[in-house]
Amino acid sequence: MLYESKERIKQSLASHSWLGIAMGAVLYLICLSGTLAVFLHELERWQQPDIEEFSELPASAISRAYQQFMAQINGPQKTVWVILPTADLPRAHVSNGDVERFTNHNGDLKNEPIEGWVGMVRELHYYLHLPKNIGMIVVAIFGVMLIALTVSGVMAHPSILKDAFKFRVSQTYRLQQTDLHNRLSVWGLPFILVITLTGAFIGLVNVLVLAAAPLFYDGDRDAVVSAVYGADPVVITDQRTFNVEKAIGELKRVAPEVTPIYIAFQQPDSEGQFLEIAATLPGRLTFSEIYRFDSEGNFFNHQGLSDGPIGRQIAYSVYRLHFGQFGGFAVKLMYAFMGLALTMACASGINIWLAKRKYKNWHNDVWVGFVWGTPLALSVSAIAAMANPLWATLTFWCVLSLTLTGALYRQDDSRSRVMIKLALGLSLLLIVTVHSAIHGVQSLFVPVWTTHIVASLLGFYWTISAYRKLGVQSVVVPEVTSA
Amino acid sequence: MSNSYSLGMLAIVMGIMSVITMYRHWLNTGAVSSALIQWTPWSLLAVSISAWVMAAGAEFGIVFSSAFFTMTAWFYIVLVNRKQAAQYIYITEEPKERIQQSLSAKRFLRNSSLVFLIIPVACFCSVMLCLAGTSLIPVSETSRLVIAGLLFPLLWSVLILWCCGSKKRWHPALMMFGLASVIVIQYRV
Repeated sequence: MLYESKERIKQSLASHSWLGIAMGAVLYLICLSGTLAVFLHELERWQQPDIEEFSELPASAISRAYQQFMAQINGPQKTVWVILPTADLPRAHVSNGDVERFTNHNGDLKNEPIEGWVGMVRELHYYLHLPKNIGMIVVAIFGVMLIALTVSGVMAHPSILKDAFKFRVSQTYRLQQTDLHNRLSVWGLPFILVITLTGAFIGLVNVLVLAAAPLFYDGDRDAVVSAVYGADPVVITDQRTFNVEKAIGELKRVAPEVTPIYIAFQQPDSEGQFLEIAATLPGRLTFSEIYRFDSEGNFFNHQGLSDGPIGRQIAYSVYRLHFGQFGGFAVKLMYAFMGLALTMACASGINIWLAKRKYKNWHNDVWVGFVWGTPLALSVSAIAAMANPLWATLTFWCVLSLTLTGALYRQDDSRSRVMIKLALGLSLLLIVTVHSAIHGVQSLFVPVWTTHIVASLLGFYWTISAYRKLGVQSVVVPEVTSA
Repeated sequence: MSNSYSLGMLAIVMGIMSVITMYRHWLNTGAVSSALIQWTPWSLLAVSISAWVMAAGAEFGIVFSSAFFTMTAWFYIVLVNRKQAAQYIYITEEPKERIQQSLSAKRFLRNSSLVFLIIPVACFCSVMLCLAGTSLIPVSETSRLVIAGLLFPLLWSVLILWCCGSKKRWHPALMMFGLASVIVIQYRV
């Protein structure tokens, strides 16, 4: 029934092409950075391998870290967080949102976390390096566009069942790209919808608050946020210290099955101070449940993120669902694989459009420069960030601009592709070399050596395959009109 | 633990079987087949989802089952087309005539202005429609807002598609703006 009207199919295809061509490049950037963002915790460990790692931070160490932190910063604080070690990020740090410090297993403050390359990748995926408020909405708009592309793609594909298992990769370039695009998109439909919808929700919550506040809450935006996520409790106390040990003991009594992930010291040194412990629940997607304690460590309520209104549970589950931060490393691998598939679907969509044209022009050059220039820029910026963490963002955009300019200047997309691939392969090998030279072999723990192995394998593959293609004419299969 | 492990294994096996039977059925598309053959892949998929849910809980189970099904289908497609897939890297585009074409400023400006008009108008309309629509649903205030938050990007994308698919793209934009304005006036007055 969906495909009965030829006019509708034509319209859907036109919309799909129009949107895809307009948004393809930025979607590719968001999807590629999102794929890397799945491993942000592991990459953080790789970026700063000399930070002490441990699986547990005792209550005494938490109190010590908090006291040392408060002694070092001036003025009243709204919230101070002590982020506890977890299985995928076994290191602790203290933060007030502006200042951040790692701690050792005793709770003594140590180095500051480096934003560097990992921060650059995170900011690229979250905000496209734009100012945060605007950037998040812009990224969310691209999420909406991806939903539109998914819907129009399904509506424009009348042979969705007939072609379900077709993969004509050795026929023509156009068919190869078409089948790759369609198979990845159609079978990946549930994942694409979940990722885009959760991503759009995260990015557009502020727009919703902005629209709902004047309509239903007399312009009170905090009231909208409280309605969704729950309001902060009102506490009045004379005490100016926190009994963390008792609070942790109480948590074990109230919710023995949960795993604490951070402790928030709310409004410390004020009469409204209280303690929150956020903890993950086994088998649940909700980011955490937040358990509240008074300054003496007595439990008084929880926020209802895991058992409150169903809407609140959903709203707090979208984060883990979007970033694949649940169920261990296997889920991360699965998310990375699917993210890569979505990235390839974005790239192959534009490839189809280019392959359908009877001529080549600067679009071909720009596209090759962008598609292969982005991973090259990510790779080179990782090297630059090892020299100076502040160079990551600038290097990324400079290298990407250079590859685009180079590809435009050369006016030979095939040759440009090979050259950029060669540079990409070499830069990946250089990452391993430079990292090993700076941090030495003593820091070769699991995330470091797995990153090095993956970078080396990809580096060797791209270097060798590009080097071989430098002097080789590619095989061209003539276009078959009947197909 | 061992029960979860057994259920997980069952879910994996049933998921693989579901893709294989789906492929066998797809190969025979057009041939007369019994209802049993037609429904076998979907039944196996349902068993797989149920087993995932029992092994890992409802939330993890549904995510695992859909992700596993997708990945199995991709691997199976590569597997059944492996002879072709082996030649993948050797294919490239046909040589084409290269033309010098500069960016058409007029076309670029027209399309950009259309994008900058359609996106905010569709956003305004969808957010107002969702907030107004969900206010009629008999659920808690929290759930209403979250449902609106999840529906709003979906509706926004559909409205954008409507604009893109229309021959006169200004018309849907004007209609959306009018509709959203009516909702705002209705609630504010």
